[in-house]
Amino acid sequence: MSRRAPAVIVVALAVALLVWQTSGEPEPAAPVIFSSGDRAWIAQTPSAGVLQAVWYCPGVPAGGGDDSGETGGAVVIANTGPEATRAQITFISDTAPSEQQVIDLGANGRAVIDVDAEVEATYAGAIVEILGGGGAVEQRVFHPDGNSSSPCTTDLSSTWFLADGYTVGEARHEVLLMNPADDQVVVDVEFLTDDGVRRPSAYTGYPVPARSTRIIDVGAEGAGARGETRVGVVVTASRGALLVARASSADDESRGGVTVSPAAPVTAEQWWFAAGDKGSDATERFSIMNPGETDVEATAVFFPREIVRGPVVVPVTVPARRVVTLDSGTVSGLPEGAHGAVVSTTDGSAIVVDRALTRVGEGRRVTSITPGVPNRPDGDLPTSWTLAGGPTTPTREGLSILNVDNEPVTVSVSVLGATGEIPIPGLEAIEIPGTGLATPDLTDEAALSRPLRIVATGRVLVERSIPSGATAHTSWAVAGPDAG
Amino acid sequence: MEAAEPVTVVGVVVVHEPGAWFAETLQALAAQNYPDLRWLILLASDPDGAARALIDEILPGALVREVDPSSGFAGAANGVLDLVAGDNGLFLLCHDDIAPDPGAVSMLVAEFHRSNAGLVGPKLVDWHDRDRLQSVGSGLDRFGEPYSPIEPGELDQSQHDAVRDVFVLPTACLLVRADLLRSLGGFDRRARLHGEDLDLCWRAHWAGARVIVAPEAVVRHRADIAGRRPEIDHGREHARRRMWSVLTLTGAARLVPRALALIAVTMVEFVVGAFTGRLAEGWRSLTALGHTLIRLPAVMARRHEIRLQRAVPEYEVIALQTRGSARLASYLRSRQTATYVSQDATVRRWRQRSSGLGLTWSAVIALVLIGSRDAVVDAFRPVGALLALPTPAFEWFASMWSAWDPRGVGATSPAPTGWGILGALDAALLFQEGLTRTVLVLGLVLLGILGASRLASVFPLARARIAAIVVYAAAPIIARGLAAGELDTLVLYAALPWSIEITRRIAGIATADPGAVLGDLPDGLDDPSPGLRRRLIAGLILVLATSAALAPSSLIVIGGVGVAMALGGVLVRADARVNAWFVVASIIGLAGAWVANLPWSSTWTRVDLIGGAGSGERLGVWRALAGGGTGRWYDLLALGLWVPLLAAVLVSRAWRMTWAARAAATVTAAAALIVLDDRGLIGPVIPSHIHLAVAIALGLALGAAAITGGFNLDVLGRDFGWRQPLALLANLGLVVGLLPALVAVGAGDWRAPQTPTASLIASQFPARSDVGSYRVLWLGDDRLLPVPGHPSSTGVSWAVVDGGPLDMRQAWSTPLGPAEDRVESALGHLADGTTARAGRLLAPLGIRYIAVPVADGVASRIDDPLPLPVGLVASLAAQLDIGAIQSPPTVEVFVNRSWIPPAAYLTGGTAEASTLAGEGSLVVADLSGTSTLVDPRGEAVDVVDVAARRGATSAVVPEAGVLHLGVPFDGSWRAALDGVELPARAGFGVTTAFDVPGPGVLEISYDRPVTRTLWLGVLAAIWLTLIAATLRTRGGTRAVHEPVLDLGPLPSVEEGPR
Repeated sequence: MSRRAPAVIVVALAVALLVWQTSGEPEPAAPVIFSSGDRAWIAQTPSAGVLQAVWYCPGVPAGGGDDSGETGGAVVIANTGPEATRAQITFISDTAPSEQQVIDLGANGRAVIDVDAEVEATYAGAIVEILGGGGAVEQRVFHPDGNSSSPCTTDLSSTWFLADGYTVGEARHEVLLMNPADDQVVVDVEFLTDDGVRRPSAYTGYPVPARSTRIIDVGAEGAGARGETRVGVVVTASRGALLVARASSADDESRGGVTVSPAAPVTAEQWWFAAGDKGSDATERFSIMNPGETDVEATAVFFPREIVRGPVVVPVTVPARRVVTLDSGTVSGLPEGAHGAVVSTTDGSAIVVDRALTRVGEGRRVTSITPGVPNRPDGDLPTSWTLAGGPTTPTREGLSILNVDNEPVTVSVSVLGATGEIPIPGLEAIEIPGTGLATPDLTDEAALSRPLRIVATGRVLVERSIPSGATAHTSWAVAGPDAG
Repeated sequence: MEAAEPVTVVGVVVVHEPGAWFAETLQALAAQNYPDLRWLILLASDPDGAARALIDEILPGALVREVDPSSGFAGAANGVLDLVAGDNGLFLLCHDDIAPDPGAVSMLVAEFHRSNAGLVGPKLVDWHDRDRLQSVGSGLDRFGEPYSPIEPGELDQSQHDAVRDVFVLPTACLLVRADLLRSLGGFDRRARLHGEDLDLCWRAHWAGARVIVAPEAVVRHRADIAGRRPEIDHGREHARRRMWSVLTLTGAARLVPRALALIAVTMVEFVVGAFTGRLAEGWRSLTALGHTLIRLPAVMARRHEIRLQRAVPEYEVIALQTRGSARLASYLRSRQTATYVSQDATVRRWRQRSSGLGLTWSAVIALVLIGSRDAVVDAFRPVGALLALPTPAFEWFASMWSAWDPRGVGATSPAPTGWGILGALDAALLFQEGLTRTVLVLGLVLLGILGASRLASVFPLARARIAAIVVYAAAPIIARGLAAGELDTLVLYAALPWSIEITRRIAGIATADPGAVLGDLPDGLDDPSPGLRRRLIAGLILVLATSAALAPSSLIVIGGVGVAMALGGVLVRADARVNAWFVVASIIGLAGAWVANLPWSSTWTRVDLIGGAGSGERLGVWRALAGGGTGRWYDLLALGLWVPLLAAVLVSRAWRMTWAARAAATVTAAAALIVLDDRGLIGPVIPSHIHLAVAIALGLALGAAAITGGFNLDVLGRDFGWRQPLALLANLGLVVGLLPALVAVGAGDWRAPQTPTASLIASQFPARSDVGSYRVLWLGDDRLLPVPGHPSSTGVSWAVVDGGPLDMRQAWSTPLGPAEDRVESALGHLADGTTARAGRLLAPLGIRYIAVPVADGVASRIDDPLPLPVGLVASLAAQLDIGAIQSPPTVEVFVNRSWIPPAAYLTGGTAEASTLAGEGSLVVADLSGTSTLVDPRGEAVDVVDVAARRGATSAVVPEAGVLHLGVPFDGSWRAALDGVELPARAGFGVTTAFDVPGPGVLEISYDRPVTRTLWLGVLAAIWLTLIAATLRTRGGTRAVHEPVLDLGPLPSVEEGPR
């Protein structure tokens, strides 16, 4: 072999490699992922062992007084980890400067902070920072017209959506803008009414100072959305992130009681609900907001607790930049009683869906308003859920557990005690068929006022109810700690 | 003296341990046909008596005297004045390594009579090949440099056979009038082995005597003084004698201007030598000048001693000297000859004369200057690593001297060696920043091209060097490196060809003999002496150490190219020792470079050696291989430069093919890495693409040299076929490949951004704010950070810099330590979303701002920005204590509302919090009790840097609290309250803190570790040793000045026939 041959062979191989490699355009380099980029979602319990879990509670009425029948509120903090830890609470309100306090939390311990005893304001929210992660935080509102609860959220966002709004008569629909950061946030607010989109100048470039809350009364005179049976609200921060919630109160033929719950931080193609109801003592209205520029075809699918003929499907058309409502009581084929539901678009468009569930007891109405659980792009939904505190009194149908898959699942409900998870008798193994719904009672003494853990063998959604007057108020549990 | 009368000639031969040739010398002497010739043999050293035996056998009539070897050749020869009485005769002074033709002495004497000369010399020819001329006398310039009319290896074709006056005759065989020698006092006894001929002849001219050469007299001469006396630094001795002669023999009226001119010429020679590979010669001249100047009293004494010998006006002597600088002329001429190696011999031949080389250089330099015209006006804008120089300029050395490294969050750590080198450059250019930056940048470019040219000198033809110059200069990496301010790329560009050039000389590869056209000679192999090889290795280490000092990442590529060259050699069956030397020399060079950069090199990390977090570039294979940037299609034309290499591999033969294979191996290896990285098949563990492109550029340059250097032999000299079209295609590719470089020249500033990030920083983050000093955390894409960043596990890179403008000291990455770990940890929490108080985690380190670069005008432009790391801005925005602020569109800026100044006084809960370690404590800590430390005048104090660099500083504190220094915990920091020293402790688990018990005056200082001084001493010793070892032409022994001869009395000579 000549001296040249090896060199020529090597070069030829290199050229061949080159040609082969250039046979197609290379995939662009994957972008650098600094953070997973998880978009905001529902409240979820972080894993134990992280540096710090931060919860944002939008606010409770803090006009003074105590919890014995007068207006007020509390923040319930549960340590769901086996180690004692501390939590720092920073109170944020619309009138008072922020204040801080640090509390100790025992292993699987629980603390209830009487917010209106600490701060005097129209609404006072809180930032709860739990060292070491694992935990769940919820806020409760006490009001003569009824109590309400909602999980605090773990996400801030620069966009928020409230699909449900009701400003008829004496009903109040207030938007709470809570800025927990050390810098001012500036927002723009839009109202989506039946007459079109309104952008009140007062709420364009609206500043929310650092560590403060601002309140927008959607139905106030001059605000632009008075007397609306349905009005959506979109809040967009031009810079920074904040927390937006609704504070709704009414006492008329349609609604009653008080609800304070976070808005939806995202739009999505699917919105799930676990605790629907149809009957003479309940009304259920889904408000479907289409924030996009084109009309959307959506379908509402109901999953009755008593499965007779399978899911009930209702098509809905949602015009661009409008909110439409769907009353489950008008859905033919849907049996009375509890049901789950999912509202989804057929073409992948993103919408926002809130549900206003009004239950009637002893002539008084208690309306629970909450957004659904949006689907995640990765398809993950939780298999375990947490309650920072169970109901304070025995509650019938205290939980609504919806199996979102076609395979049956087994669910266990436990109390978090000092020694760990303690199954609640009778709730150790609840069988739920595919797309089935279970509504177990929380009547066992062990379940009262204690952190609860609901663990399933498959993907489930869990809403919970707390007593409110003669009936109950419904809200979501906290997903996790193993939420996808 | 009558011309017709025979005159007695006394032949004086100084003998010192002669070799086997001595018998031939004696036979030649004995064969002389001059009738009245007596031989006087002065035997200086003959340990085994062999020389004496030969003399007795071959030249039995000679008078032999053993002499004490203590007076040198000149002193020994002077002895003839004492030993031989009377002036009516001639002395024939001879070395012991000559062989005169039988009639040589007769012809010299005859010419002596004809010309009425004082000194007559023969034509000296090569001992082995009498057709090769050695000397026919020399001219002399006014700076003492002989100027020979013949070239090395010049054939004797009777072209110099005319009798003529010369200025200098060598003493190998010299006929001198006895009375003249006596009146001149003989040789200068200080001359020893060098310069005695120049001194004697110059004085002979002073005396009005003629000095002529008689070429009809032919004498063979071995002229191997270097081989016979290897312990002497002959170059140095020659230089010293030259200086001595000028200062002692120049007339008084011209002495001062001549001395000043000599100093100037010597300086120029040194500077020019530094850039032309003749640094050693320049250094010799410089030291010789210094050596002579410090011996000024001896110079004056000598001038007084010979003052009476001046019999003619000086202008007559000057008229005999050559105008201008013979040294320069000799230099220029010597560039046109070269040593060539063939299978059988090493010869020195005329190098191909070509004006193309000069024209090419002129064009390249002109294009570089034209391409840099706007950049030069702006003194090269502070782009990339080419930041502003430190202010004041002396900061270079202050930074080297100090043990405190103020970069990043500060640390007691070794300073980069490059600071000293750039400081020396800055000082040499009188601290003119613009000039320094321009010289640095353009110097690196031109140095690299010059290196490629030198490397291509392995090809004997000028056009090969032209091709190498053109291809290396046309590589798009120059434009890209200058546009992006990539100092490391420019350093690599400059160092790589030189390192390979030195390595090939270490390996023994010389220029192959162009006459050896028939054999398949893989390499022209020379066998460098151990001393030369040691010197070359020292030079290689010096090159690599300098390169590493400025850009450690260059080492990987240089080492890799060395290995690739070896592999290429293996492919084509080059000599195994040569291949091994490529590897061994590379390893030695890399190890030496590491040692020469200690202790700083002990802190090198992957970032220093490989680069940042990975290029992240997916330009597509061709664009990546073209070495250009994105968005310019014509950069792809640079791929035309690849064609000559491919053609060289297929067409060239002999040593040209060997070098083509080495080049192909280099290019293939580098290209493979680029391609695989571009396709995402290997991780970010390779040098940056542009560094690999430098290796490719050198390989392409060698390939082009191989094909053009062998064009006559490998293309035109063979039957017509595929080779000829391929060679033409190669030339076409060469032309096409030049276009991107020509286009780049048109920009005038290599398309450097008009508003570099460094300029933005100066305005966005001023040096002083209303709250004192502060730091900025830069976070984002590695390519966009204004200083070298640390790759983070979060996928982005980061760097901490002080507020205020950047300077070039920050072009080097900072070492990692506990503070950096804290930043890394904070970023991890930020990325994981496990905190909303990242500002607090960063607060103790004085980080007030967080900047996310969007566009730098080079890798990312406003109109075509690189994507920001996903989730970075959102994560920052989600932090409760970090807020976005207004900023230019090229950078997203966030402010840390929780920050603690780098020098702060903590009170209340904040003081208490500083006693706690751990991030968990920090995120819930009360940081409201923080105030900037102020000095007694109420001004904010930049305590950290001031105290570290300029000694103690003080501040008044009003109450008990904690002195917080936002630097890693370091026992070198001291604090005293009203003179009472306070113990140091870790603050927030990472910084330096002092508990202050009450109000008073705090004095803060930094104790410079004594080890720093020791290290600097060691470092200086290493570098001086390297420089000395590189410049020394012989071994490390000093010249031995012991005399070699001692003439004893020779009374019998007076008694002999006259």
